[in-house]
Amino acid sequence: MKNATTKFVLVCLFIFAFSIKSKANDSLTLAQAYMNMSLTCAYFDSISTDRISKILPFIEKEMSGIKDTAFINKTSHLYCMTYSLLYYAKTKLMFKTKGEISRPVLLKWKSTLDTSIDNFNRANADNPRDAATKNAFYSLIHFTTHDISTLQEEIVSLKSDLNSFFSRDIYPDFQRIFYEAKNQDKFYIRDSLKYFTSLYNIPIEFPILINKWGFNFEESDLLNISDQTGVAHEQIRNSVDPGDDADDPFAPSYSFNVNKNYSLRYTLDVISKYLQLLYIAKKGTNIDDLNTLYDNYTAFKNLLSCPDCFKDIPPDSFFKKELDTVASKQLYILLQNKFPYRDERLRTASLHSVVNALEMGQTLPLKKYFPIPVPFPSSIIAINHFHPDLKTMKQVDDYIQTCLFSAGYQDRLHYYYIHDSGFAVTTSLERIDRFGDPAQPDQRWNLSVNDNGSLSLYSIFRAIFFQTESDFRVIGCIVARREADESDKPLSLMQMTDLLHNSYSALPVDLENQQLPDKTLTILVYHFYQSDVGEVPLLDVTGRLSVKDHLDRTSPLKQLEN
Amino acid sequence: MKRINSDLARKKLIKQWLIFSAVIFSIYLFQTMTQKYQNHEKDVWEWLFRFITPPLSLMIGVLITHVSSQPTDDDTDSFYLRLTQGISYFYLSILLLSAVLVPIINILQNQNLPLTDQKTIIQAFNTYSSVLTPIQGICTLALGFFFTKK
Repeated sequence: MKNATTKFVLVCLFIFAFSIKSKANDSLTLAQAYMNMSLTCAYFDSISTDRISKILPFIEKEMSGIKDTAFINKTSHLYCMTYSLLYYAKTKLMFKTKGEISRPVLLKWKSTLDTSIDNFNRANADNPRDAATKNAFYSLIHFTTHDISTLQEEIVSLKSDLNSFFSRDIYPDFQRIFYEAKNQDKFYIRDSLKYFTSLYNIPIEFPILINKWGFNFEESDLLNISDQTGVAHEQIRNSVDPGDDADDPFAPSYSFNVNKNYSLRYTLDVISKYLQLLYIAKKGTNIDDLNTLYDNYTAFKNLLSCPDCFKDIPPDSFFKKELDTVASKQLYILLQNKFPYRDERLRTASLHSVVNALEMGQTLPLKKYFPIPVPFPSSIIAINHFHPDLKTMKQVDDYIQTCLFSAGYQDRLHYYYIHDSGFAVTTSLERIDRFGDPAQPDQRWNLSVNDNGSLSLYSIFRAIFFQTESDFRVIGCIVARREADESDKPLSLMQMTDLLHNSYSALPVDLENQQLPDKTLTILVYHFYQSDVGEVPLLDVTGRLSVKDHLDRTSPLKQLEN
Repeated sequence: MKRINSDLARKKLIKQWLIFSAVIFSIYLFQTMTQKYQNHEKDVWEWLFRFITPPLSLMIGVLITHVSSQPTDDDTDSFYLRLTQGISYFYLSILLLSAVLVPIINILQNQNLPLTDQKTIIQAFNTYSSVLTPIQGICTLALGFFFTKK
């Protein structure tokens, strides 16, 4: 009996000792595996691939030997982090030793890195700061939040590298879908593009198809698109979920979390946006907000001229052939045919922003031209060999400005390009009398009140029985190689107002140094006559007043003829 | 309660309407001669006759049917005549004022509008119609008391 009791005690002691040994071995294994993986990742580039290829299976085998769930739960941070490091290193090794790249290979890279990310996120589901500081075991092996942060950065960096490969892999598929849509009118954009992007967890949206703003910057920043796309690009690259304290990774509330999604690179994004716009141009119906549609088009067009945006997939022959400025113009024509539109907001774009944009080398939506042949004027005169001493357009402009400013047209000038060397400048619409004299200064530019701008009792009484006639005028000067041809179509006041709105308030900077040795100044007068209050002013084509009459009546303008 | 012969009442009303209509017509004729409504003469005359013709044709039509018939001894409470005359004066005055007020309304409507958005005088006439139409209805109803077959 005593012997049996002794045996039982010995067995118990053996089991107890074994369990202690087992726990001690797990701790040792995990600690060794973590430290080995940390060192392997830290010196990855300097260790030979053969050696890494041997280290990784060995550590994986060691880690698989840890079976004690209680131990795993207790050290879950370190356990998952070690696995995350292991799979990160595996992905990096595959990436480093890449041979022929095919879709299955890329998918294997992705799934391995996904496993690393899963383990990383699982490890840091709870606040790792607490775990790293409170657990004495972690302190012993120097497992700190700094290690977590370093791994996070490395995973994100590797993700970004893989993203380029994934994008290049689906690029030919995007091209195929592009041609199907363009040449065969097969528009399975949503499903086709989504199928290929979903292979690599690349989210893709189709806001333009439902006529929503489809870019990563505000519509109001259309002119600053180069800057905005750069910012957006960086934002997409940064796939870390930064939590509340993005600046301090060691702040208590900082979230260590890596997003498993990849980003749609700009080349693919441009194709997607082109296809969406093409779909609307060919098949779209019920577009109620044309501003958004054409804002999307303008943003798309400007995106094409953003060289910094195409770093991952540099523009190749397909891109240069199919998505150049000609393609964007054809798309514009298709859109205009389907949904005719004129951007009223362009009228209010200040010259300041236009000049700034020009100085920054940005592409503007449209240049503002004066129509030539010129719309049929009330009167016209051409002065050949106009001031040969004035060489540059800036000098010519200064001369014309001097004449016009002294006649009261300061801040009332509108400049245009012309489809030739030279430029055009017009005055604002002004009120004149029947003989071509400008109205009194306080009434000259006030076009909304009739009877020469005043509203006296007499004028009201007179208006009861008689018509209240009004006259308005626009003087235009065209500096070009030769006399401007005139069209036989007259201009309505509405068209003239549109023309005046779509102008620059100063000579465009790129015209200032243009030289024209022998130039002709064509002076045009558009005289509008309004028969009564509320009546549509009509162009006076009776020829009652010549250009000379108008210039003589506005005395300082006589210098223009000299 | 003072009473008045119905024939006499009808004649009084017709006189009142004819005199006022003649004045209104003359003013509009003068405005037409001064080419105030140069591009809209047809529209303005149509507008004017839309408000004068229905009551006037009702009255003249009834008068014509009574030309051949014997004078009657029917009499009516004079209150109704005064009421109808009052409503008629009110309506005709407003119609008369249209020749003056509509051009002023047109000026005021366009005072702050840019040239390309200004409204024509016909739109001012249509604005004025919204006041005239209900009064015309009441006036015709009042006249109906004297100018319908009993």
